[in-house]
Amino acid sequence: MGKKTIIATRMALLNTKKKIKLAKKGHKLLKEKRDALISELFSIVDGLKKIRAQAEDELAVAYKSLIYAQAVSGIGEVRRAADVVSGLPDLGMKQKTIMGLKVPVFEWSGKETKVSEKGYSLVSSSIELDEAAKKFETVLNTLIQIAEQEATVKAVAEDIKKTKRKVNALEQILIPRLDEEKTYTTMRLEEMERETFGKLKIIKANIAE
Amino acid sequence: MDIAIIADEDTVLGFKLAGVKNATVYKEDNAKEAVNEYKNAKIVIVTEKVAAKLKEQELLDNMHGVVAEIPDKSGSTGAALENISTMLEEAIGVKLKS
Repeated sequence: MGKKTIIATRMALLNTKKKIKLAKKGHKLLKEKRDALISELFSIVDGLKKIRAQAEDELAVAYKSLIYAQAVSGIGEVRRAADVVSGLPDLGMKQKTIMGLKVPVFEWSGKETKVSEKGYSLVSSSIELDEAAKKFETVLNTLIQIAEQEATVKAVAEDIKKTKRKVNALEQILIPRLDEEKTYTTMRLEEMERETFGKLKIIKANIAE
Repeated sequence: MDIAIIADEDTVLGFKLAGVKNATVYKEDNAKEAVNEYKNAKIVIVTEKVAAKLKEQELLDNMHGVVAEIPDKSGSTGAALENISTMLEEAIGVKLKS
């Protein structure tokens, strides 16, 4: 029980009882939060696995078309084109809350630039080059979704760990400690009562003599 | 700076074509500078192999944004899914089935 001295009064007993009630309520709530987060995590991970497989397929296709582009236009030409391609639109970032936990949400308009707006010369570039650029744009769109979900998984997993620690601390340490305190106080109070009862008996006997 | 990429030459080239401007080809000696440069990017794309090397040098922990690992042209090493699996295991003690 540590070195804390327990004051055995009725008031202290009431306070301890109140604390136990509160701790149990908190424990129940945290447990519910943990379970909800876990089920949330599972559904996100399922989605993530699917979208990751999709990205890997898209990426394989994109690499292949890049190789075609290099074969047709020449490596130097592809590199030159890559240097002058017009930049990306802004990536907006917002926050969403899952069970009071903030996770990022990216706002992405989805990039699909027309060939004429690409920025490189249309005359010297080949269809394969356009194709490769388009494929990589598709991959990029998917990747942004992946990034969002991975960040969410990370945040949720962190929070589950934290919540679990809290639940365990309440369950294993705080609540048993308070229970012990309560038992001790109750016993002490009863003991005092018996003592007083005995004292009264003796006094009564003394008076009667 | 929104999206950045550190990867091998071909991957960088591909994503440059898609319009990613902050692109660095990974080499042994420029890893630190690249990571420092892209610290504030919202999404940093790295290939799994590069990510493994960056992790060896403990550089990825400094990133503020999200690090998205992708396979390179030789295919996936499964490292990215492995990461998620470890995360899951630490959090709930269940391994992700592959």
